[in-house]
Amino acid sequence: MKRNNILTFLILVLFTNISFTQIDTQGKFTISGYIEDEKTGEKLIAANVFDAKSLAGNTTNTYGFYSLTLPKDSVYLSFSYIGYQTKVIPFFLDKDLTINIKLSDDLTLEEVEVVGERIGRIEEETQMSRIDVPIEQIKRMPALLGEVDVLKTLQLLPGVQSGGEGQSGLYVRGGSPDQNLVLLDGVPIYNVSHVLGIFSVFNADAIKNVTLTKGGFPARYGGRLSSVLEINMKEGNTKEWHGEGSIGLISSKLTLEGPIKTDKTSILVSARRTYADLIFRPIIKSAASSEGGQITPKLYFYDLNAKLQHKINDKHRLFLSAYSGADVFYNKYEEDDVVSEGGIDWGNLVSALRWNYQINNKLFLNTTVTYSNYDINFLAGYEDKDAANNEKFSAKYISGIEDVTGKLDFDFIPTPNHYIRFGGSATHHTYRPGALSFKLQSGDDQPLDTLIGSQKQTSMEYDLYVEDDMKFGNFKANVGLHASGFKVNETFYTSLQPRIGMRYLLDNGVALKGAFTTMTQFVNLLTSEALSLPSDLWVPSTENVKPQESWQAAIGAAKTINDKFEISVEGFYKQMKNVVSYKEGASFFTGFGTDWQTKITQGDGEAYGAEFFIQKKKGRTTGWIGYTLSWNYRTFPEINGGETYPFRYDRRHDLSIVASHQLNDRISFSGAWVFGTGNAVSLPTARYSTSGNSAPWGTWFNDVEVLGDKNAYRMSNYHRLDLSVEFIKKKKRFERKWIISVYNAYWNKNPYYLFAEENYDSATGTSKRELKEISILPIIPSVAYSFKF
Amino acid sequence: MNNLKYCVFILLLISFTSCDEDRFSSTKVIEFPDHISKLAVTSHLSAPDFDSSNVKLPTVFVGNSLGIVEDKEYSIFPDASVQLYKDGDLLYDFTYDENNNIYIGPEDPALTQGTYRLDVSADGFDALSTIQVMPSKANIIGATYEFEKVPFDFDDDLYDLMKVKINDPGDEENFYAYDVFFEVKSGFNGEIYTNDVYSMSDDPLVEYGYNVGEIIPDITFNGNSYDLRLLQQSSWALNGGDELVAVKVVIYTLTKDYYIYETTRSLNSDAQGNPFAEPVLVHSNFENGFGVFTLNNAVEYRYEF
Repeated sequence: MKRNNILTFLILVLFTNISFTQIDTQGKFTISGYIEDEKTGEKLIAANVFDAKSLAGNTTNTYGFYSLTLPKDSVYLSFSYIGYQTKVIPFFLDKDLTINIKLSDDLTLEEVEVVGERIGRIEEETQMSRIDVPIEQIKRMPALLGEVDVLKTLQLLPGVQSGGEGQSGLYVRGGSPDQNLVLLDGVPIYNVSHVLGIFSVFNADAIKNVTLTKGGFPARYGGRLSSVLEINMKEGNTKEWHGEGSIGLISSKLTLEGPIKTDKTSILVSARRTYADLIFRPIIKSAASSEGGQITPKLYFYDLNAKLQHKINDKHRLFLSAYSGADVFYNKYEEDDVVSEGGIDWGNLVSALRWNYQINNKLFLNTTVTYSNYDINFLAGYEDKDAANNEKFSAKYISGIEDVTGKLDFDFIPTPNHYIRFGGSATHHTYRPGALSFKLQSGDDQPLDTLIGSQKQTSMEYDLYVEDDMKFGNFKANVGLHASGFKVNETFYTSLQPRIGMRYLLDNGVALKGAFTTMTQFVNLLTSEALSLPSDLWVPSTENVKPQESWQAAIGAAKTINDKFEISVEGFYKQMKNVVSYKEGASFFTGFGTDWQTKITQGDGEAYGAEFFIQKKKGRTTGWIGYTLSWNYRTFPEINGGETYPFRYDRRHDLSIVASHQLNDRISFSGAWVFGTGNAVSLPTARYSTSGNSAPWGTWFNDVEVLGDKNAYRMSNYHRLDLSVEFIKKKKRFERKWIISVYNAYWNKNPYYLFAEENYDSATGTSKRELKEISILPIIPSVAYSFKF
Repeated sequence: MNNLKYCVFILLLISFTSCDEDRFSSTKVIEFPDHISKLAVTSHLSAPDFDSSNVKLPTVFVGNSLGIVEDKEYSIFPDASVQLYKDGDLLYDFTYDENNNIYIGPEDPALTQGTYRLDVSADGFDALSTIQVMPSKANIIGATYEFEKVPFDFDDDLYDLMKVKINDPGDEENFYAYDVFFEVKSGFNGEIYTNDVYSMSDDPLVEYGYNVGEIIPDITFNGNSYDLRLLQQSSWALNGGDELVAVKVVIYTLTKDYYIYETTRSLNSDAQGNPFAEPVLVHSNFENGFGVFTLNNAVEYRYEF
């Protein structure tokens, strides 16, 4: 009943607002256009447009489009974007105008002060729990093995955790990695890790901006419970050809972008590859040949990003973007006539075709068709080529997910007080939740060729949304409704998800914010709590597996101090229902003939906490301090005897201190120190003997290991210091940097895995059991050379 | 260039000062949490209705728990108090058998319907107590037997199919296990002997117990009749000249604690050494200790050829 009342209220508010906007635009004129970077032609996202006279303003959308409707009067219009020179245009507004603006990032020009401009400051934003991380800031972070990493930087923000040492997955406000919607140019990516999580799939050189939303989700987002990570690729320089790249200890990358036709068509291509296998292959081959064999190892990952944009005319633009990336770990050994091989590979292929259509000066349409595929293969094989034996065996485990989506997104900006978004999408999902292909040929026996495990499944997902970003003096609100439908086999799930976010600005400049959101997720990730692996399976909700649901409430306050420091404090509470987990004893690697649905169980989750964040964005020294205090629990009827237990990633304290300092034009330093409470794990704590003579099944004598309460034990706390220094040399058309960094500077042995081991002491002749923590990343200094032209 | 040299020097300095004797090891030994020893009791009591030559004495094993790293032997408890109550009244005391380090009950335990409580106490430990309600015997209505009927798994051989019809009561949760025996007339001397038979069910509901074999919970047929499908190969049980006289099926009904203990114990055993498997908590129904006290009821059905 309560939820129906909220829905009714939201629908009335939305309908009323949309109706009144028609009346409200009489006697007014609309200024619209695009804001872009002067040098590259890249559209600027969330750039500010502000009229100092009426104090009305707006921001550009994801494609750099803005629209501002003002009364017939003189206007003092400023266009600004962080890191760019503000442009001011005063004029008399008496008709609809199109003004396209090019902003310069040359800050040596005289800074223009605009009185009353506050748009873009944290207290002005309606939406809470959202962080925009400039890509330039990410590139200044200390790098592991010379590779700056988008996700590693996000893990330094409050409310966002890593899973542990070397893992790049995100755990946001108590959620698990599958509850994050990770979008690359609007296309979901299902696996964001390379090298078991040490790096992410995102090449920072190809990226324009990164936005993470942890709560207060606007209605245009759906399908995941815990966060939305939007990563937009650069579009390509429409003015002239440029490139950048770097050469590091284990990987190198190169990005080229430029116009195919100036100001009309541009292209960007960016590639990255590791080459540890190329370096070590001759050594390994030499060692193997001395033993009489021949080894062919493959050990690498690569990413390839490409984007093509074409401006048809002032109203129509086309974009085609693609990403392909993979990890390959493979080895083949040959000796005499025997060949054995084994390996694992996984990767993503995503693509998006987008059409921007500026329908009129207040209405913008984005139509997108996307494709996303993720798959993983385990392979083991053996062949004896000797004709007398004629034996051949291969086993291949295949798993993956594939999406095809079509969507329409409208931006309607009738007045400065309303920014209305609405649209819909349809997605066809195909799941391959783990199948084992098994082939055996032995002598003259009948060959065996069989497939065991779960067959393909498909589903359709539909989404509709409408939201309004509205302003009434010091009060702002984003009110919206997201509707989803999910069809799998004969089952059809529907969900209505109200969303509301509010901000009230006090006279002292403090913004009070609040948000309430409900989310539904139909696609689930089966992941082992023991080990985080790329073998995690993506599976649909079915007639037996209900969709995951959550609601989250958050309140907070934010303020900018002295125009330099942004401070925010937020508290959140989240409840999750129907979260999935493997049952006790289950794993993806056993019971291939068993339907995956019988291996899992569903339960509830609860997370709550507080986040503190202080950030300095301007000046020679920038950085932030983020602290999170949180609790995170799960309850499953079939796990831990139905008792509530701490989630593995229940991290009571999480602290990050990040700073970078530009010493002069040629040298800059950066550092990051992180601290987090250890992960919660289950440990055997005791043993006892069962020994009995009991009817009717006879006698048994063996030990039982007693598992303590689930996740009752804490691994060692995690803390790490990363440092980096850059030596920059700029010439007219070329810039180079030497980047020296050290990861884990004081070599703390951060835990990756915990296990118990029996060790035999030859001196005493006794065995002793020990509990050990394994760490995988020691101090890692690195040097990289990067260049830009 | 000078700046670069200084930085490399600082980097090396940090690297070397981070070194210590154990620095290059990637493993760290952690202290296990302390464990306070508790009593660990195991007892599975049965109320069969068939020839007691097949039935063993009721037993209770009393032991203690040790910390996972403790290098000690388990204690022996010859002076523990082990008592079985039925419906609140003391049924009997178990006595200590020092040869087998186990507590044994009377030859004829006379376990029938009722509520049973097992109390165990020993000096220096918290007393343990738990309650079980004897489940009803399975209501077997009838059975059929077909020779060489069903292929199973990858075998080319055909298995015999025995269907045992059970009426499941609707007002309780039931968990069934089974044993199958062949009565064979020897072709050598004409005597009749009983063989324990390896039998399995192709029912997709089957779960696996650690010691009881296959268990079928009544989730999908609660309150209805159910055909328990049993597959075995009679040809394996017969030597030259032997004649199959009858097949005996013993259907056990387990308490819920027994079912959970058996399945968790089986999962725990399978998960040993598998880093991918989720950890398994072996069930215990003693609040201040470890182990399990369970009951099962049994009924035998004889199908004569």
